[in-house]
Amino acid sequence: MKKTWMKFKRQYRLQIIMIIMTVWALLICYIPIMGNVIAFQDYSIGKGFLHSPWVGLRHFKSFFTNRYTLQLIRNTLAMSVMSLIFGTIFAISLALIINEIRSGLLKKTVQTISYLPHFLSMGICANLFIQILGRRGLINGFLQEIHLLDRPFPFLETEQLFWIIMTILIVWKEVGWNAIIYLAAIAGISEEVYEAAKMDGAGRLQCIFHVTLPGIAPTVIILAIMDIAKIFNGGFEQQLLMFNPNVMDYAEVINTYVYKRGMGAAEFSYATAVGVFQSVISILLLVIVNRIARKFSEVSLW
Amino acid sequence: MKAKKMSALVLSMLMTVSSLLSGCGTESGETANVSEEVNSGEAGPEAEEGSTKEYSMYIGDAWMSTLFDSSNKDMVLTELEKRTNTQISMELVKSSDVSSEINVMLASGDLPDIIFASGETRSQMIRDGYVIPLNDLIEEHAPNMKKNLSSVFPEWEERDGTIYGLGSFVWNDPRYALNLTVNTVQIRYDILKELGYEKLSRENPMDSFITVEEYLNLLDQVKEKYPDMYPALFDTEKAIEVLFKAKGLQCVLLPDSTYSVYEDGKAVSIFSSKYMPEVIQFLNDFCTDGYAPDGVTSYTEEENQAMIAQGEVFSTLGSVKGLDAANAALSAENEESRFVYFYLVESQDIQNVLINGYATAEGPNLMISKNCEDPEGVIEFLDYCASEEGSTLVCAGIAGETYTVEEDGTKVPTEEIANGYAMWDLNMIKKYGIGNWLNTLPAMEGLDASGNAYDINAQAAFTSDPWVMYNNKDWEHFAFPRTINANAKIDSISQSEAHEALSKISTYAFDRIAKAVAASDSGKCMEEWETCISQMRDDGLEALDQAMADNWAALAEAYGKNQEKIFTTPAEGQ
Repeated sequence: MKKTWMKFKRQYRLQIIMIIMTVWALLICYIPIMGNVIAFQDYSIGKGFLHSPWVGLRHFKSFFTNRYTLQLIRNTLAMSVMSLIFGTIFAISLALIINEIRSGLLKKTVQTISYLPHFLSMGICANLFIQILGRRGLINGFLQEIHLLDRPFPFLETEQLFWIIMTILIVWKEVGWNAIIYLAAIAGISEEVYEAAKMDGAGRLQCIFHVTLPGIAPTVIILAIMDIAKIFNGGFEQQLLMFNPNVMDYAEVINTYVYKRGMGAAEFSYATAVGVFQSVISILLLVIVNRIARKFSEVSLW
Repeated sequence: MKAKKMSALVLSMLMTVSSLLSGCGTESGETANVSEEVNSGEAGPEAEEGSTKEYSMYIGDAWMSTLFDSSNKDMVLTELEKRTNTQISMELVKSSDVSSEINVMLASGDLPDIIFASGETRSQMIRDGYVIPLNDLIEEHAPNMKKNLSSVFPEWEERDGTIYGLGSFVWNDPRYALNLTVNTVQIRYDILKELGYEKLSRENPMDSFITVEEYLNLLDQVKEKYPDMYPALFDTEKAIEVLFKAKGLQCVLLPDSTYSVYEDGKAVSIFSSKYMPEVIQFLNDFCTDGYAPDGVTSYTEEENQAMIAQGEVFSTLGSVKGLDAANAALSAENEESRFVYFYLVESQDIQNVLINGYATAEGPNLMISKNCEDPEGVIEFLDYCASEEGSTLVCAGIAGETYTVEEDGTKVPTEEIANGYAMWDLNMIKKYGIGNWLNTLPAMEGLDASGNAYDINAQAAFTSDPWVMYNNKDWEHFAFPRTINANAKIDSISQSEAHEALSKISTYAFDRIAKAVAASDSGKCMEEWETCISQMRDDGLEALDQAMADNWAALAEAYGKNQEKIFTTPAEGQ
């Protein structure tokens, strides 16, 4: 005990900062978790947690017995998985390309331009895509101008294209930002390894496949574990903004449905119940994927 | 080293203080202050001499918010404040997601004195005790309301007889009631003139009515003569409402509910109506026959507005978002290129229609919050609006500014106000306060003792130009459906199954119907509709229909009318 106290005294500056942030984390991140109790109540703002009636699993049953639920889950998973796969591939590719650029100025320029969309709000990005892909948008205008099309093509109203457009939107918006992490991982690979490979006659492409990619594999696995845990929570703003009746069977995800019912009709309990379900699934996925990763690659979050 | 230690400590302290401060909220409830401002004013509620009462008002309605400018007080409000020794600070809803914004406000506990809210949010506020009952306050502090508005009190009561909110747009006569915009077709006047439309003079009775056949005929002419112009735009939900009412049916959008249609001896939701497949098919054919542009069911407000303002659209089947603003822009350039209203009927046999769904939603939305420290003062302020003098101010404005008084005492609006009102010019409305307050405050808006309307602008619009936007020429053939909210709405406690069904169905119903309307052929259209109705049945459509039938019966009983015809027109002997 005395030793611990002595250690604490020696590090008191750090401890003070830590204590403050721990209190903040508890107050802001952990204590509100108790609010999930409203998932089991018929919550009313006026009555509060203590006086709202208890309804048990009624909201969960309502969600699971809704014939629309499977479709919501399908749409959510499809768009999340596509974003995850293509987002990872493109982010890694961009990081590799940027890493191969020799000119410092060009490298920084490309990097800056690539991650700028991350700072744009989803509203702006969605509107941008609508301006480009809409019936009166840029692409249709151009194609009609060169007489490739007689009438505008409804890109945004075609069900089969919706998931693809969402994936392109997300990947374009986040690829630059995500590439930064992979660039940092690449920067962590020792130069000696590259030199050794070159001495063995490896070209640039071979260096990429046999040195760089294996070198960043742990980073890729860690990020993939965290992203897989989030696939059930995927999507809201972009789907809400680009929603139209023609694509409703492919556009409606769990979060948008919950938003319409939960906030629109003030059904807070229902919205929370679905949120609890998503969180439980996310935790389960995280544990399972982490275990698989540890078993096959010895890389894991814990 | 010591400096480093000091700076680390200071940093820690700063972080602690900022964390604590960020968690502090504002004190709630202290919104009524008394200041020493001296006010001169005419008759108004009693106030301490030399003191001004301050109240805060929140407009929790997206459309209503467009009529006000919270940073600049309009002329009517300034005069109202002067006469009543009050100061009203207004806050408007900031986004189109009104219910979320209000829920955040309720959760924070920071309530204004006066709240304007409707729909489920309003019901929730009443249920959870955020607003106070007004019966006793009206009894003791609102003599003008009791004298002039008591006829509509039943419409403002909940099922237990309690009044929580005050309504507006209180008309004692439908003659000049200018809300005939809900289920109309709107057509370009200049194009009609070029086409040689025979009813341009609008001199004969029923000239403001147009049959479906006549309308389609006009659209065919436009397709032929103006190939670059879109014959029509529509919003699926509004177009369906127009087409139902064109059949002369008792079809009403009930507050905190959905559209109710009376057919075959009972009321049902519009989704269960036997006419719904026919109406959907009509709209699908409307699209596939080229009367509406491709993708019309997915158009946004901005797209509508752009197309209409650029003169690319001949008509709209029902109201569409963006029409008002675009119409104002069009007619600013050329007065004749404005849109004018017609009332769609299926055939000339239909002589009476339920036009006005608007009045069923006119309150009672104005409520006093539980945090208000001076509800008596608020009621007295609102009671002034219900007086003859107050109603004149709210509806007509200020003599010498917004209207002049003729020798015989008739009030005549100025040209600027009359034109702005007729075109629903938002700039005029926000500057003068003509048009916005009469939609908010409990003022008399029908006929005064002399037989003239308090809303002199409505009367002027009606009498001056048969083609003006709000023309009410054939008013005797319109029913003016006012409903008793308590009976009309789906109650979340006593009709919980129906309430849950409505909650589920409303997330997708009109979207799926729009998808059916946009289908490439009638087979796919009906297939989509079958999917929709099947889903609705699974989600409790039957319970919803039963609740609507019960509510319709309760409405009929309250009005002492036959269920088959609760809403009648003056021409039918209202």
